[in-house]
Amino acid sequence: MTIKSLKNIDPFSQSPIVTLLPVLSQVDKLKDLKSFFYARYEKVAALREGVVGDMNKSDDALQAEYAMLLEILDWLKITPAKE
Amino acid sequence: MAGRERKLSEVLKRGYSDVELSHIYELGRFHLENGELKKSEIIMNGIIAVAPEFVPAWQALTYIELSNRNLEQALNFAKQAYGLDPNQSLSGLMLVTTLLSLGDVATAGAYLGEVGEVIESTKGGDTNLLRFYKAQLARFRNFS
Repeated sequence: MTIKSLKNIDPFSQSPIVTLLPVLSQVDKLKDLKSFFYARYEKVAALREGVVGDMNKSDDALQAEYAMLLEILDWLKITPAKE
Repeated sequence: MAGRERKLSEVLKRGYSDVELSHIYELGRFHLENGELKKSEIIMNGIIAVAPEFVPAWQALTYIELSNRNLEQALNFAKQAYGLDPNQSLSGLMLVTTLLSLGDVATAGAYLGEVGEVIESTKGGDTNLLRFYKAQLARFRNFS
């Protein structure tokens, strides 16, 4: 009975903005792009190593992309060869 | 159309197609739905680093900062989202939400008027968007 009533909770009432954020795809589709993300990670990791010691504005973007790729690989359960 | 083509080529230059960005964004949204704000923030920050014109990521970041009560930062993100596409009612409403939370009722009212015209003139629009608009309208009236 309790489970049934929980299922009836209106998602909008719980978190209106999250409900309104656009749905553009399905998260599971990331799984089809494992090799792309790993290859991209390796490229960004190499670029990142190359720019350490010469930090500028564009490196913030590189760092943000690197962190994003680590999150994606973590979700895909892929452990990068190097950190 | 030319603008759209330019945007797409800009995205491709940065190494990600529109489809890939949409999949990545969905992971960020998935984390939001599960209350994992930090993980979502990392994903959304990564998206705007490679594709600064990707409006849904700015909207998600606005929500994250609102949730963290970082209202000034939420306002910056909401302005980015609205500036990129003022026709998206959600961006306008998020801007209103943030301004009301900051106590800037006059500016919030101006944006609320603009967004309200668009929402109320759209027949068969998103019911939840209309509900959210009415909620902000009620907040605005309470402040006024």
